[in-house]
Amino acid sequence: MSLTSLTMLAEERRWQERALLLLAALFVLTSALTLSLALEGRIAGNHLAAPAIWLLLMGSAHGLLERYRPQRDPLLLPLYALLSGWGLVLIDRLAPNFLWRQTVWLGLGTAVLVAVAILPYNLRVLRRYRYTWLTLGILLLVATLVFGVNPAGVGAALWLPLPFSPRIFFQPSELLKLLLIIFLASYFDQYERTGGLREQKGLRAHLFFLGPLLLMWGFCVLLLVWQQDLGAATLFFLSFLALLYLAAGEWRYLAAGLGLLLLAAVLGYFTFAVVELRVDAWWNPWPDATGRAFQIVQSLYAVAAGGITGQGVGQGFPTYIPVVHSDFAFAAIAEEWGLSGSVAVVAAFALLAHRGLRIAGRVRRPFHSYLAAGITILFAAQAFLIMAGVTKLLPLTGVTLPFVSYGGSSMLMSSLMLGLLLYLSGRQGVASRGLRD
Amino acid sequence: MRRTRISHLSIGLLLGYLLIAVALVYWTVGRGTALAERPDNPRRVEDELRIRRGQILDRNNAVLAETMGPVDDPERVYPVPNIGPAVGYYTFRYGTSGVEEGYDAVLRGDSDDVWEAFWRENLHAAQTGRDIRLTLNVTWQRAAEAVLGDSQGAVVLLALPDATIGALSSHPGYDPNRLDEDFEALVADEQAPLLNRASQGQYQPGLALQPFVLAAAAGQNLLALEETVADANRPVQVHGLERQCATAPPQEATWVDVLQNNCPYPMQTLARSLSEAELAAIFAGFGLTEQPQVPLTVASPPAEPVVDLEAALVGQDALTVTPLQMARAWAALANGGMLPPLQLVSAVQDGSGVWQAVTPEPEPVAAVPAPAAEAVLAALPRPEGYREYATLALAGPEGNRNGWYLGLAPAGEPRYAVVVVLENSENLFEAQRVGRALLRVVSGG
Repeated sequence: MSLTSLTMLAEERRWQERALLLLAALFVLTSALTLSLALEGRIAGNHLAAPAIWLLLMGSAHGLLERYRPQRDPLLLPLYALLSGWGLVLIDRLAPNFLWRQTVWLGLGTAVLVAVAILPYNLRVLRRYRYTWLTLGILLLVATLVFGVNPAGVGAALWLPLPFSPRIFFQPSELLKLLLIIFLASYFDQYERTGGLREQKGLRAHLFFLGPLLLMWGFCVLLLVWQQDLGAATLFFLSFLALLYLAAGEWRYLAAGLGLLLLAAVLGYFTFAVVELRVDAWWNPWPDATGRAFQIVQSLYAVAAGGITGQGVGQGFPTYIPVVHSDFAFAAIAEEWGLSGSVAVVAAFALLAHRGLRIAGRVRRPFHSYLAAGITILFAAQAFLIMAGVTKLLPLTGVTLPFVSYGGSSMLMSSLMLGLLLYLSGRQGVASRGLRD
Repeated sequence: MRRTRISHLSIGLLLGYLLIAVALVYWTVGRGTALAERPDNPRRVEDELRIRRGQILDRNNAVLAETMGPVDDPERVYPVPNIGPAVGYYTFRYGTSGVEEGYDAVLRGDSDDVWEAFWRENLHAAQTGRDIRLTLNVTWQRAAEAVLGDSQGAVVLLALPDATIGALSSHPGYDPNRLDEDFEALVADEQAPLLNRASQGQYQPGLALQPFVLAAAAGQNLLALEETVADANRPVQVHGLERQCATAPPQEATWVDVLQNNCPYPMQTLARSLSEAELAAIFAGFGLTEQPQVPLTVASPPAEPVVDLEAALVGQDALTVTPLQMARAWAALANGGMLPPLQLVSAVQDGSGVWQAVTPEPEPVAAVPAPAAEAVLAALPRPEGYREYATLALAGPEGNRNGWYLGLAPAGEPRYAVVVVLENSENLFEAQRVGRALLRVVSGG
């Protein structure tokens, strides 16, 4: 591809991103204004300050990426802007006490996203020291067994207070997600570099994959036993299975893995009260609608109440759902923005998945490909798990909706991972093959 | 190879998201209504709270009930205390009754227009109720409350000739403003203040039936009011008690004297010329065996009003009547024998806020020929310029008595009809005092 073509492509991409960012800005600011009018009956500054900061952050990110990573995918930043801006409006609506904290996390997240996407560095360090990264992640996770707390005061102790500020908490499992993806990408990259399955025959070839499969399953079960973090355990295992399929191309592994997941679920059902509760509430919530199934039933009521066009921002009753700002942000969107809003969120994540996997398919190095695919699958699976939980397709797993739900660790790590995707998409090698079809 | 697998993963993820979109459509469109109507869905309550319920106005547009307060915490306010029996109540916890119940759909602003309902549903537009105008008059209503005082009973005032209900009072009553606080106590109260005695109180009519039976008998040429009656003051046995004329009639008493002195024996002699079915038809002709068509909780009439003919002729049989039924029958006599429909709601607003008159039902029908009705009225005493009839009716085997008062004002061309019933009344004058006092207020006397 000639330099002129590349320049034209970059120019076209710039205008695409600008136009999409403008649309996201229009949507977020209109929603914030509507919320202000609905709650206060006037345009109040406290409802517009966070969106204004968001606008500044997105404008700056766009400018910096434009300057230093012009060949990036033009859809990723607008998707990030749309979902995170929507999330801010939603937190203002559902849990205004957390708005400023979330705005700060978004600021940090955007800074990290831009830094990861534009700084000149090499990913080799991630690939080479995979065991170090994984050990670090697991150590942090183990630390929660000793020092773990729950900021809400009750529930699983999955957070660590930061040393410099005991009032700020970090969830190590969020970091572990990325470290695990880096480890697996590196592991499969090494395997591919050393010849892959083509040169391995019989049991040895299978052991290369079955060994990690069982190991990973065991790790996730342990995670479930230790922390009772059903969401993280499911997410880790699903991401692993997807990468395993990418590396091995064997449906049988995928089937075996899903079988193991089902087995773990059955074991968990008979062993852990939290799993039993969630499965029972999912299978038939109606007899205990005001008791143990209250959360999922209220979530379904919220989805149903939204209709096609929604109750209007600030005019529904999503706060009947316990922990709505974290686990059930999607249900709140369905109630106040209706089917049109909730399907738009589904479409946004579908687009994110599509673009992420497109990047994975176009980068040259296997490590980069696995990394892009792993990150994308992590986003996609996490969004799928919570949206499927809210709509009663699956039992609830207690994960957040990336970029939308309240949660500092989640926002920070999701931004970092999106930064990596932007970095991978913006490298010259990818761009030259064209993201534009 | 890897790119093919990535494509497979991409398709798998997109299919997963498609499944979520389908699930969203299922819960929103397929199950939306069913979930919205589930009794444990708090949004039902919230939606109900958001409806700005319409006002209930009196005939001069004075407010009888209105919704006030902020949108998320509205309050139904009744400016006239103790108006509960006349307009009913609306509370979030205990539901609706009376006019509030009968015209609930209008007051809520429910629409029969399919398109309007569709847009409102899908745009989640706020539902605003429509106003209704009653035939009540606040001044008369307050007067009725005042004259009834602490006496246990009911008062119904009709404006003639249309038989529009001008006042309706029941005591003991309740303040609908305090229903949430007082409901349990009201339910437990032995005096049954939640019972609307005007429309639900089923009272033994006793000789209060006398004007109607005599008018019907005269209308059927079974008697002439001027003809003499033998043994007018002869005692009769009612529930083992001996009863005779309230005041002694003259020696050569006529039917007019029978009427004016509340004599029971001559009434029983009508059994010789009337069958059970014919007497039942007379009761039906005056609307005493049907529920008045008003938006109030009304008592169910007995299935078989005449069991013992002689007892029925002195109002001590199976037939019990409400003051509202009695007022309607009384209005029939005043209207030349035409039984009018009762009317409590005169107009309702349509969706555009324009008032639409309400046509009362059923159509007026002749209860008795006009000359017979006029003759009976002419036979009644005319103190203070009113036509009136009063009697004490045995209210059961224990000898309790209810005082009935039926009054018309002015005596010449009646414009107001009053019916009063007082429970456990000792003498005629109590009900008479209440009725006359109210007539005095409404006719400006």
